[in-house]
Amino acid sequence: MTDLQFFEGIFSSFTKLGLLFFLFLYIIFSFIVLKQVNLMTKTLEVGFESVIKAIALLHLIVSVAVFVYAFFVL
Amino acid sequence: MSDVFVSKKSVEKKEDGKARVSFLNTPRPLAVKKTEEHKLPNHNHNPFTPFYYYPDNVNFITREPEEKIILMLRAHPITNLRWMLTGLLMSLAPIFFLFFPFFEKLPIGYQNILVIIWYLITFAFIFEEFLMWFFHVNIVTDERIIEVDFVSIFAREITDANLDQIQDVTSQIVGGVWTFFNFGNVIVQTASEIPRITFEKVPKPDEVSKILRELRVEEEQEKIEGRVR
Repeated sequence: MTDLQFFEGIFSSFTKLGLLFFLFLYIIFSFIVLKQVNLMTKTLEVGFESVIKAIALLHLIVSVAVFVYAFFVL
Repeated sequence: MSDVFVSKKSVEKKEDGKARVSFLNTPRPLAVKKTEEHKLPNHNHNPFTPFYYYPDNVNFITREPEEKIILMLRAHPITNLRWMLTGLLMSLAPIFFLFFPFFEKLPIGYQNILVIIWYLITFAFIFEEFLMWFFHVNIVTDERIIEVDFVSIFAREITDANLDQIQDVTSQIVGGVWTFFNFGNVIVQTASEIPRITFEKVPKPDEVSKILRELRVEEEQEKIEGRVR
């Protein structure tokens, strides 16, 4: 292995770890958004709560799915 | 309620069955019968409406059982234009990723993940902005005015003041765009602990001021007659 390949390998690993860490933080963020939406819909009811809650839940599911996808693809 | 404060105009019906309206667009608050609510000019069932007169499906956490909601307001939809355009530009941005030589040299898996992350961020931005607009409302009931505001994703603020604590109401329309779309601020000075409540960028600020003024008069009359809850 040349020095260049060695550094490329290290760079690639760091990038992968960085992206996965970011996606992990994003899952936490999505969870907070879901909690926030629940709080908002409890505070104010206008007859559109179920759709907003469904979008927030879908957002959380997609963020978990992206994390899993990234874990295997990267 | 005393006949003095029940406008004959607002109780009478037009030949087409619609409730008669006053010189602005809304009948006098509290002079509206339950059966007439659905015929009011600003009454509809659209959850996105910024000016909701006698709303049916609206409820809020600190509402008292006998409290009647007269008006629910949120910022005029045109105020969302900036974040909508930003969101649109953000969703088109990945097209330009290909012009960066660095992006092209990445393995296809990395390229896909970066684009997906970009769209996640874009969606989060749009969704948050929408939530901040949708849930930032001002409510006028027959007893008080309430402001529900989600300052950030972690902070909620509910401010209220009784109608009899209102000292002064100012409607403010600033600039050409505000005048064209007929929206503005309604600044309410109160004698409560929070001296000022501002209804920000709400549609028809003059009508809102009028409704508040009439409600204050009716509240005063209730006080005089000893009908205060």
